[in-house]
Amino acid sequence: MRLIDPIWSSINTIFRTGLEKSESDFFKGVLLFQDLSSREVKKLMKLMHVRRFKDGEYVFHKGQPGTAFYIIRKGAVRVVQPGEELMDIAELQEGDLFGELSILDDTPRSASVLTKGETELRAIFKGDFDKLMVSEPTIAAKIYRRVAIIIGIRLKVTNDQLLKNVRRDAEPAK
Amino acid sequence: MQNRQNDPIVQRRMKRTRYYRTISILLVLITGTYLLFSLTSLIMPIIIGILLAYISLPVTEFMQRRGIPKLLSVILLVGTFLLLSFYAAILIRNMLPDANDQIRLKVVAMHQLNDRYQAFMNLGKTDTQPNILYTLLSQEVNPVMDNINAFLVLSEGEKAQFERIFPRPTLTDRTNERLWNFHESNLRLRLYSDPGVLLYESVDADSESLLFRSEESSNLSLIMNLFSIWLVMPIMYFFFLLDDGKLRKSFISLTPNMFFEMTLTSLKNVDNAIGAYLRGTVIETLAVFITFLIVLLLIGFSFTASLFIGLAAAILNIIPIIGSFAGIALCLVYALILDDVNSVIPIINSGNIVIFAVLAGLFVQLIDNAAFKPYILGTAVDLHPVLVIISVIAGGTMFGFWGILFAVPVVVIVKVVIETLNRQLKLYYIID
Repeated sequence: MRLIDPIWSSINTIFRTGLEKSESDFFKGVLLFQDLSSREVKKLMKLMHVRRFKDGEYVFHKGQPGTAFYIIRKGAVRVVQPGEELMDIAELQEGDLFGELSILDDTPRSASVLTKGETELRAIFKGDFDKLMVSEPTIAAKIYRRVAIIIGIRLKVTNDQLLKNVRRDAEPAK
Repeated sequence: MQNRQNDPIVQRRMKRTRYYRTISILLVLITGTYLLFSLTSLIMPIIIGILLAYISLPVTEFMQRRGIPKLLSVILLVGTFLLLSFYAAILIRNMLPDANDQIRLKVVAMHQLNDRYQAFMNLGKTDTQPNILYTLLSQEVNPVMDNINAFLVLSEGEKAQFERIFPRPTLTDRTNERLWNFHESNLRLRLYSDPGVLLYESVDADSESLLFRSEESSNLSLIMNLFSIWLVMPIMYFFFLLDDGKLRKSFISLTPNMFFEMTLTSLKNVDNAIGAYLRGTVIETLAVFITFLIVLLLIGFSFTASLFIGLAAAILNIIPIIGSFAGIALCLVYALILDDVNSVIPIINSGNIVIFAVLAGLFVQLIDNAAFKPYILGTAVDLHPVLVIISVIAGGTMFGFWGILFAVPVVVIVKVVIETLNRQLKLYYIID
């Protein structure tokens, strides 16, 4: 398109350079993309879909197939377990990500996610990420490594929590 | 939240948004319908350009994986495509018969066709009666034969040209004896539906024949007109290959959040299924073309005839059921007018070439249905025969030849889209 419409392209470049720079800086700060260079982040940004949500809107429901992961660009989300009443598991803020396990397997979503206030998300589709793995294996490897670290951290937290619960349950017996 | 919606300013804004959306959708629909009808001739080049780009995508992806930049790989591919088209056009132009060849072809075709028809129906012999087949079918077949003959009749201009380029044989020069025998036999032909009238007398020989007229009307303006319309095809091909997902992203951005992941998955599944079908169809067409070429050469068709019939039959084979018959019919028609048979199989001669041509067509269909289709296409796109026939007729009515050719691929695409959407809507709990 640049070849055809250089004027539009120039205007676009003038007005968007600053914006893109701040966007790429933002994503370099996201835990999952910390190992990526600026060039690699920009390549990844091409895969991202911009999604805007109203307050209390569901991003996905528990049990649905997981086919994309999300980064919170603006706003916040609640991770909840559905039931008669919603049980809050976590609250995630700007820069956090969720649904990243969807890039590993095809299992259904383990919890529901809904927005808290007006929220802007960036979504990366699993199919696009799989293609990236073939065309840019270095980027994919760096992201997978980060996913492994995140899962490791979560496992440690879960183990600690489990240990605390076991100890607490064992105390009255004494 | 509830309070915000009751706010009169918000309500007015919502009302304005609704009006804006309704008017925009109406404008897009009206403009789209107007463009669709006024630019009908451009639809096919655009669709073919997009389809070709879609089929070629894996090639550019492969080149990119090998380190070739996208723009360069697209330019290389478009260049190769244009070069091949140019080469094919020159090849076809050289192979097409010129005006003299067409006259010769008409004389031979007319004689062979009538000779074979008369032999088949046991006609033209004074001592025997026509066979039972003639008694049963003559009412229907005779007018068809008369119409074909009227098409093949030489005009006065063509007759004069025939006599000039193929001089009447003499005692010393017998080069054109066979051709002249055919011509004189043609001049003696009578109408099948009215044996009292000579064929050449019944037809207005002063008017130029269709074949001759088409040669004269192939002027520059016609070529330029076609060229300018079909120029859209490589342009569409180029830009669709160059697009790095922006079109898809723009489309997805229009979907509501509730359908976002479902749309992504559906698009991916549809893309996989249609991509596999289209690429499979291209490979199958190539395989059928090569098989036709080999088989027709073996039974004694000339290389040019084998090439054209093979190509036409392979392309028509895209249309299930009807295409198979069309391929066999092409072989049969050419065998009926064939003059000289030079087969490597000793038992095939001009007397039985018709039977072998039909057998050749059937053999290719057998190979296609037993080997190519199951292994290349699979059963994922099986359509009911009634649906195939209805869609082909509808396609033909709406868009002519191209409509007939692309009816089935379009129906396959619609079928895959509906099936995938239905499955995904259930998976995402949007419908039960």
